[in-house]
Amino acid sequence: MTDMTRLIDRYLDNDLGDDEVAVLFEWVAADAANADLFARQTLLDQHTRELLEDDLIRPRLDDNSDRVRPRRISWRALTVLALIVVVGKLVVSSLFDSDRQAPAIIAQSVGAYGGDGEAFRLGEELEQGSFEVSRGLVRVDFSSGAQVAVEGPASLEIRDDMHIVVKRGVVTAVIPEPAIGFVIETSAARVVDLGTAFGVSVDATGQTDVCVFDGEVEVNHQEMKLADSSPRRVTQGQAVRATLASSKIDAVAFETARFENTWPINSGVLQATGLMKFVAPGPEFVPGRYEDSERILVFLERSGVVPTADFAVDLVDPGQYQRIHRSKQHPVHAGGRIRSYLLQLDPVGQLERGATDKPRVISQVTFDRTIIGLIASSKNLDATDELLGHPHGDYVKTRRGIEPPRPSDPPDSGRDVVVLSADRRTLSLDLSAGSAVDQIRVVVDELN
Amino acid sequence: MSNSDPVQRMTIEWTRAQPSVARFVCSFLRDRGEADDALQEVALVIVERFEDWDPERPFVAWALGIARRVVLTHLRTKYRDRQIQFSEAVDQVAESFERLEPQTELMKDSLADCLGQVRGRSRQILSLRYTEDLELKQIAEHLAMTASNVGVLLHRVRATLRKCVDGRLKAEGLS
Repeated sequence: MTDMTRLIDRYLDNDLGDDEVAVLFEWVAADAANADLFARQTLLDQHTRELLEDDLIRPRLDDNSDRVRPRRISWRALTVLALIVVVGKLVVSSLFDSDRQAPAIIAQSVGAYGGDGEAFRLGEELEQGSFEVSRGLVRVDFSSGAQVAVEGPASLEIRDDMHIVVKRGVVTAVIPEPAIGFVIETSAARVVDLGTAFGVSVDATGQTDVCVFDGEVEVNHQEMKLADSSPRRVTQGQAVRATLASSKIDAVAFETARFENTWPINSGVLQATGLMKFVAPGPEFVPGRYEDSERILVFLERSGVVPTADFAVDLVDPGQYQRIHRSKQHPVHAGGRIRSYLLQLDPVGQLERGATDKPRVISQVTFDRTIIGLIASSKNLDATDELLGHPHGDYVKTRRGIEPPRPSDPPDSGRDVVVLSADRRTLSLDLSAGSAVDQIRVVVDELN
Repeated sequence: MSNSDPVQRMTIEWTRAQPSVARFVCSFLRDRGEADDALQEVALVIVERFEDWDPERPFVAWALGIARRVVLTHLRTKYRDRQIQFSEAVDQVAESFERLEPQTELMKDSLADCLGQVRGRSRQILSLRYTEDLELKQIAEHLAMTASNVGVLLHRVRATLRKCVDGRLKAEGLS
C-alpha cells in the first residue's frame, strides 16, 4: 500500500505528477479520517513556514550552536556576494569565523594512538584534514551530532562535520536526526546516510563494504557522476560492496563480524572483558538464536527512549546480588531519556536440568552512562520487551531471567551473581546457564 | 462604534477566521501568488455577502464554505484538461479544518517548541525549503545531494515533528 503520509509530503514539496495528485485526492475524499490526516499535514507545513519566516522558533535551553545561517543572510545573497568579490569564498567563510568550532572531538579512546604515535586525549579537537589512527579504537563525535567509531589502523580525512573520507580502515557510524545526510566517501563509494547506524570497511585496494545495521543509506559508486547515477538504497540488514575494478555496486552477505570491535564504542560501552561479545544489530536480531557457551553476548536494544509511564525493574542499588527478590519491585519513572541493553548467556545446545558441568562465564562491562535499573526476572523482562526491546527482536517468552538459587543448591554451586559497582556504571557477571537462557536487561540514563 | 456595527463585527470575525481560511486555501493552491489572489477573492465575497451570514453559525465555517467554492474554481481552471475530481476532497478537507480550528494555535505553539529541537542538517534543509522557499531540486544542488534524497530527509524531519506535536497535544488531552 502506498505510504500516504509520504505522498502528502511529496505533494507539499510540489513533487507529484497529475496522476498522483488524482490518487491523493481520491483518497482524501474517501474518508473523513483521511481528510483529517491531510489537513493536519498541510497545517504543520504552513505552521512551519510561518514560524521559520517569522523567526519564532524557540531555541533549546542548551542550544548555543545553532548552525542555521541567520535568515537575513541567505545563501543566495552569499552566493551573489561570492561572485562579486573575487576572493568571495574566503570573505564569506571569514564572516562566520567568530563562532567557528572544530568539526569533531575525540569522545572516547580505547588504547588508541594517532599517526604521530601520540595517544589520543579525550576532548581533543579534530580540525579539517587528515586523521590517522595507528592502533586502538576511538570514537569521534561531530558537531553535527554524528558519532563515528574508528578501529586502527585507519586513515581518514575530515572534510567537515557532515562529511568524511575513509581511505582505509573500519568505521561504524550512528547518525541521529540532526545529522541526517552525513556523507562517508571512500575511493570506490559515496555513502549518504538517511538516518541510520551502519558500518563501512575499506581495504588496501579501496574495496568498500557497507553494512546497514539500522535505517537506510544511499550508496553511489564514485565512477558515476551525481547527475546520471542511480544510487542504490541499502536498508537495514543489507550489505553492499563497491570496488575500483567495477562501476557496479554488488549485494553481499550481511556480515557484522568485522564491526564487532567498533560497534560497542558507538553503543556506549566503554569497556568489556574478553568474555563478552558485542553483537551488532540487524534484522535477524533474535536473542535466542545466538548461542555461545563461552561468552556473554551484549545487544544494544534501544536508545533515546522516553517512557510515558513508570515501569518496574529488579535492581537499582549498587551491591552484589545472588538472589532476585521477585517481590521487590523498583520503579523507573516516566520521562527522562533512557537506553537499554540485553546481556545474554545462552549455551550451545540444551542442557539437562541439574547438569553439573554447566558453562560458567565471568565477565564485566562498563557503560558510558549511569545504570538506573537492571531487569533480571522473566516477568519484568517480558513486561518491558515492548518498551525497551529491539524493534525487530524476537523475544521468546520462556524462562529467561537470572535464576534464583534453590534451597538444595550448595553455597558455592556457581549460581548467578551480579555485581553493580558503586558508580553504577560497571556490571560484573558470574553466570552459569542452566536449562533456561540467562538474560539481563540493563537500563541506562542517556542524559547522565 | 459599537460591537453591533456590521463593519466592525465583520472585521473582528474575519480577523479571527482569516488564518484558518488562508491555511485551507494554501492546502490546495500551492503557488503562493495564486493563494493570495484566492484569499482576496474570498475576502471580497465575505464583504459583499456578510449580511447573509447567520450569527448562530460559526463564522469560520461560513468563511470556509466561501473559500471552498473559490478554491474549487481555481483548481478546475488549473487542471481543466485533467480528469481529477476535487470537489469531494475539498469538501472533506474544509470540514477537517473546521474541526481542527479550535486546536490550531496550540498545534502551532507546540510546533515552535518542537522545531527548536531540530538542528544540524535537518534544520538547514527546513530553512532552505521554508525560509528560502527553495524547491527540492534547488536544495539538492545546494547540498550536493539528489532531489529524491532531499525529499526523503524532509519527510523524515516532518515525521519527527508530527510525532513531537502529537505527543504534546496528547499531553494536553487533544489529539
